[in-house]
Amino acid sequence: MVFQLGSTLLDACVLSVLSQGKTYGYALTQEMKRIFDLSESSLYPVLRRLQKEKYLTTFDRPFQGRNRRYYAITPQGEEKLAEYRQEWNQYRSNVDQVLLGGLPDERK
Amino acid sequence: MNGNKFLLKFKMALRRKKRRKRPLQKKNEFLSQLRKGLKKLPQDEIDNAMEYYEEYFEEAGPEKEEEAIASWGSPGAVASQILADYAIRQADSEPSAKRGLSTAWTVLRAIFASSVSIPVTAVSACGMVAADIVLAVAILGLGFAAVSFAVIGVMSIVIGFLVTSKNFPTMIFYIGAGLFGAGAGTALIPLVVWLCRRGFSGVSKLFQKIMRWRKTI
Repeated sequence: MVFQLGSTLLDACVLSVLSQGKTYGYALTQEMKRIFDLSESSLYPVLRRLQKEKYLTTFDRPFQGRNRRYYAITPQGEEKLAEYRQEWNQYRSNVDQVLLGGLPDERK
Repeated sequence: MNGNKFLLKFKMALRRKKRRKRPLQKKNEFLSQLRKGLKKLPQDEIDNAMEYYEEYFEEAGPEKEEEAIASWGSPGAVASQILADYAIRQADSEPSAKRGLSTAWTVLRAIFASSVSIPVTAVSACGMVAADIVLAVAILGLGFAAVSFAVIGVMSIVIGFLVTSKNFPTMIFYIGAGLFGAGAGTALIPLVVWLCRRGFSGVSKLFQKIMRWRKTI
């Protein structure tokens, strides 16, 4: 991966995945890993921080005799996600303008 | 034939020594080393972290254990990263110079524990120490400046009042300069305090981000 995913963006992506439905730890980290080639060990601090900031919550469910920890987004998390999405749209259009479109008006 | 038998026994002995640890052992060893590394954290943090990693092993299955452990690096490195992240979270919620410094120390240890090449580790560690030294010098310098301005400012005001009888413009000058000095000194103090409380944890956060960046390339 050429471009680094900043920690804020990482938070936003985790929240986005969770907003589509609660999921258990392994599934969540595998999903993130699939898209971004991240290690589980780099995801743990992200999840912990989001939990401490009350953007997500966890609960346990038994599965095949062992415990599964589920993660779910909170209402504050949804709000924060909406903020992040707005910021991302702005940021993306700025980058696109420069990287993909150039700034022809100024050159002329 | 004695020689051959000896050679055979020697080879078998070597093979026994070289035999790899079974995955279950590796997993248990990783988990127990991790727990040891996390000792200093509060119990709920330890439990939460252990639960996360234990659950990963259970879900991934025995085939993936070795691969996972290899990709994460040593349990010491993983523990250090968890400690560093915790320290930074604490520093954010209760900023103080003392907390900032202990956060800096935790992040520095995480830099050393992270399994990257020695030159990169050395540069990161030195960079962070250098940044902290610059910060400390800035704090001291500004602190002295603030105090000097304030003291000289007050002295100047006093001189101004003592000069009263002779020369009105001179008195105004001294009092004015004094007020300026005292004002500047007082204004610098909040800056110094802010640097003290937030500065070191800011540097730590920056270097933890740099560490994360290095790990992915």
